[in-house]
Amino acid sequence: MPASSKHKTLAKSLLGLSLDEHGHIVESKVKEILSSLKDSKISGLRSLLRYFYTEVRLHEYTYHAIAEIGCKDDPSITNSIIQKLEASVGKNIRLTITENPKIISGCRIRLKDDVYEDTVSNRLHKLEKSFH
Amino acid sequence: MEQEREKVLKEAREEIASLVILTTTKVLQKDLSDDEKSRFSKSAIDSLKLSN
Repeated sequence: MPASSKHKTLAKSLLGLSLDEHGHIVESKVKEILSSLKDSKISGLRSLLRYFYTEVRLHEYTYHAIAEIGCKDDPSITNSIIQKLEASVGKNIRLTITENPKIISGCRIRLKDDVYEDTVSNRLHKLEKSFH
Repeated sequence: MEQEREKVLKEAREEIASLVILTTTKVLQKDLSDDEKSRFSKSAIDSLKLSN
């Protein structure tokens, strides 16, 4: 087996060791793995780290949602978004939520390659386009 | 002549529409209360249709 294939397989195994019971990446576990790798004499460490980094990024991408809202966050908003997303994708979601005054009001949610949006700014933008 | 008139009118309509939208945006950004923003945001979240 070529070294790159070995590293890819090992990177996937390391990812598995980095997850909690919900399948979410745990930062402390990743740090522990990186520390162990640093101390090891494994050949092609740079290549392995690159594959591991890619695996972590790709995996996080599948459950980490980014939401922008046009008001101050409160627990009911966070819970509503998480519930809707989890019902849609059928697994636990990690949510990062930020207030964005530019959207005026409403919400824009990104998960994986999908963007769900209902904002005042987007409605106005569509209205403007309809005049052209 | 008629074509030129239509073109000018179309440009004027688009310009006015852009100004109206710009003004509306500024007014809404300034005048919507926190409560109104929160109500619309919650309603927007509730009505979002997410695909599987």
